[in-house]
Amino acid sequence: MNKNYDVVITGGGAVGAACAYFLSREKDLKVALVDFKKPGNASRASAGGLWAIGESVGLGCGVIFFKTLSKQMNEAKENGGELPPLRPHQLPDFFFDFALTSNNMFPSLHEELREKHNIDFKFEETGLKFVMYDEHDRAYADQIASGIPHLSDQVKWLNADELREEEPYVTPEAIGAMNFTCDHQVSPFLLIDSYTEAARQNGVDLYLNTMVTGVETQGNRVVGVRTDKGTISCNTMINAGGAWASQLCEWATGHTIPVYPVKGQIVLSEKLPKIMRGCISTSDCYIAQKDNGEVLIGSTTEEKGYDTTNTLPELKGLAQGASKCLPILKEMNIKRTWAGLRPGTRDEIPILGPMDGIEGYINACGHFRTGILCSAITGTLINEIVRGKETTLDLKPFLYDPKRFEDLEPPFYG
Amino acid sequence: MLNRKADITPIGESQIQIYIDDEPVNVVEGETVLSAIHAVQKNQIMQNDYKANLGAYCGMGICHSCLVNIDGKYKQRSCKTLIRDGMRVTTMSNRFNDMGIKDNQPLVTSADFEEKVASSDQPESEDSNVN
Amino acid sequence: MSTKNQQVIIVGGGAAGISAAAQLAEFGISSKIIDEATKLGGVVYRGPLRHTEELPHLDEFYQKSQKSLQDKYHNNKDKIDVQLETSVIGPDGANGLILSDQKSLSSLNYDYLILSTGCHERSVPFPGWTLPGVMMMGGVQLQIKSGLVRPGEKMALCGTGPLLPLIACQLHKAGVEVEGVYEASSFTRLAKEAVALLNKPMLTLNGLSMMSYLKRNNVPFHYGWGIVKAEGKEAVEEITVAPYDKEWKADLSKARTAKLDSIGIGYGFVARTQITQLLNLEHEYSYQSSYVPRLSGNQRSSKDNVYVAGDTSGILGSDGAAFEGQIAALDIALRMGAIDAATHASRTNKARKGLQRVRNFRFGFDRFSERQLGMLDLPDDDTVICRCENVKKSQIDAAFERGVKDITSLKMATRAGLGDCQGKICSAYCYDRFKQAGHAERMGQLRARFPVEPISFAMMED
Repeated sequence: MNKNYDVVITGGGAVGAACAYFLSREKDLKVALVDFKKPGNASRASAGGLWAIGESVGLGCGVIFFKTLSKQMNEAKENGGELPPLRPHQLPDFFFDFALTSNNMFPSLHEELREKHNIDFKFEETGLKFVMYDEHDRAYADQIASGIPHLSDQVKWLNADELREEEPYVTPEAIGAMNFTCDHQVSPFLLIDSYTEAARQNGVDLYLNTMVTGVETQGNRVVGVRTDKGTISCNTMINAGGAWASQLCEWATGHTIPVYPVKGQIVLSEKLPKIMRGCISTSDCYIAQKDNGEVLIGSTTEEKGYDTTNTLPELKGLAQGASKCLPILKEMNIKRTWAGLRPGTRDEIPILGPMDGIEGYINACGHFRTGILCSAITGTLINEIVRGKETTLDLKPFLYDPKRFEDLEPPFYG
Repeated sequence: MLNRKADITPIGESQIQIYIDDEPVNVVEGETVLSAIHAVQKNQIMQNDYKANLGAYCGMGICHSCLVNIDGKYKQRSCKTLIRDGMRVTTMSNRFNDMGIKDNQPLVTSADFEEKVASSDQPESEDSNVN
Repeated sequence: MSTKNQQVIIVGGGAAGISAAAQLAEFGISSKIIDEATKLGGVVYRGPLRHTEELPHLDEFYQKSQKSLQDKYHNNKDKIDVQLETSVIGPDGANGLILSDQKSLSSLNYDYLILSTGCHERSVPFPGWTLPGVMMMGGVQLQIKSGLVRPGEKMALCGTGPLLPLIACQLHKAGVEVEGVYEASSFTRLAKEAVALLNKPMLTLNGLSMMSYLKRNNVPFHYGWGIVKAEGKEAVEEITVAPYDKEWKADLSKARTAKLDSIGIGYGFVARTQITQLLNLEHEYSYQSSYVPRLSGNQRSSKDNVYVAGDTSGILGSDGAAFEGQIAALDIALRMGAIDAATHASRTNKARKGLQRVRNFRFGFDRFSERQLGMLDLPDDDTVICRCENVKKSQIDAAFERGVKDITSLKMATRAGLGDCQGKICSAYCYDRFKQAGHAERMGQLRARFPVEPISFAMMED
């Protein structure tokens, strides 16, 4: 470990691997990627959905909030009480831009990795359908659609018959769907493998199965990363530590950043013949059939520290939600379940870029539910930051600023 | 009627029968579907999702290589399932093959699927008296 | 709350489980045994699943041991609740288990838990190992002991250890033509361990008499020979065997073939540790048994109220299992105040001495049968390693070339272990590959996931 690197990336998940890849393309920098797969790391737990619009408007993982809302509405109706205001949880416009820019990079990224490096991360154009069961669902969908008038060309409504035509296995009880035609999917493991392998082929040194144990600083400058195999010296460190980013930041700067684990459980079916054309989101769960035929169902949103155990009531909720949407699943088997730890932030926006008071340190963390999706744009931006170039998007709203996390409405999940 | 040729000790009087690939075979209470299959000297039991023909390997329910279709339900472990009078066992039965599709081929409609699954319940022919 | 009302759950009703339950019963403590089979006794002793007038192929010693174990249960029935045809598929909260009977799920809480889930055969891949007719020796035994059927009419046995002559005799007595028995280790190795064998004279005598039975019946027994490959169109029709050197590397120049319709393969065992893993118990790598839970003196795991006894804690066979079950039960009895410290100490010491005698005896065999890594050379590029996901050896090799150093990365890169069996079959080979590459220390464990065996979505309805 005597080499001095220009850049060391701590964390080799979707974001870290993407940074390694984008930094390595010009083959001019000495880059190292240090990675240790801690239990629950989000990259391996991910469904692999590229749901730029879906995640930005509170579908996909935001469903628990909605389900509670539906319950409130039913109860209010029965008690003759007032209905609480409908409030789809929509992220700010700059996040939409961030997510959509990244989304648009995937087709060419897919081709580039295939042609130059011979790896295929199974990019699949599927669309994402929000399947509606009742008028509450439809009202919610209407609210979402009205919040994104500038994206109306990506939103397609399907009535019950059209939905059945496109998705013959969806329950006949569904009344229709709202389809985000630009939301697709990849194989998350293959995506990270692709970034990592391409980076390696471009000359990045991979320190895999290697745990970071500290950061070396001189004054207010990062000069190296300590690992359980020795110290790696560097000019710049990229914090891509996922749910563990806060500890890395503290080692480097003496301060923590508000990135914390948000647990999500997943149910996976056995390998099945193709029963879905596109990805589906309902008020109970999201469902995606992967390229090898397994149907993946997620997810929960729980703040349980670093706990990654599966719990039966939550798994039942997901399995029942999936069976309700695709009744044919009832006779199919669940092959395994797992849980991942999303790197959550209170305002649900990633933390990117340099920080005041420390040189040689760049944040690339807090990607919450969209690490896979936003890996491409993050890698692009980090590459630009390291080289002092003008960034593709305005970095300001993503920089760490304690003011971001003040006066927030309480989180929707618990 | 399939003859049991590989029993180590006689099964005695049998009041119950199962069907293995539409052929009846005498069975005894307490035995597993796998022992009935082995008793009639069959060892090719399933075709997996990759078109490999497999037979029993571990005998104790962990290798998933002895899977049969029982009364229309796919992927039942024959080593762990006890026989029941009238049970219909189909060997070499694979959902992918029965649906006639491969991964990533265009979707079949659910009507096709249900029809195919339903038809696998019925015997191919009325005449099931083969000795 | 009276400690006598505390719930003791025992998962696995084999030698360890029944011994534990019987020991607890002696002190007035009730327990509940959960077992996935239709009868108690575990893989070794559950015996015939259907009625039979006689068992000509099973020797007296086996039948006696089996009866003695069944008696242990019958004599204590009033204190032992048994739930059969039920699998544990995962934990439930801090002190619970999720159970499946293939139709529905239920959950069960425990105050003390004894995991005695036994072991399964180590699967060793070689060209043709997935052909119908190729069975693990445990699977062969289950067919003849429990199924009372011959899995083939002309069979060979390839493997190592004391089961080889035993199963060969059982097969022959059951009417199978035994083409040959191929023991991987050389005879000279056996002679060195004779001293250790003296610790258990009865079994040894049995062993010797089995060899003379085979000789009398012209069943060739080859020392220092092993499997090379199996071939056949639809099922196994022919095997190739060859002399193994002391690293168990096959000398192909001296290979021979044999025509048959079924083979039993038995090159060791691995502990069944899916439940122990899911309970987050600490494990340690064991070259012999694959990962085993880390235990303290009285079979206690890293979780205070969870004990592990029998082959799940390391392969010692059913005699060892019985002592371990006893030791766990004695510890629980002390904690529940059912016996005093003096009784606990003297009874535990006695059991520990018995366990040590078993260990000494086993040590002889284990050294003789210690697996050598030469068999890793048997599969060729196209040999399927992970049958569930159709992963070939060439894919495993490519992942190692790319620098994977841990089992999870191997799993992710190749999909080995991501199939229906969750790696129970292929993980042994994968761990040996890491061992060969020098990464056994840090390779990690293939994670078991809920449910440890597949369940239908329908079973998740309320």
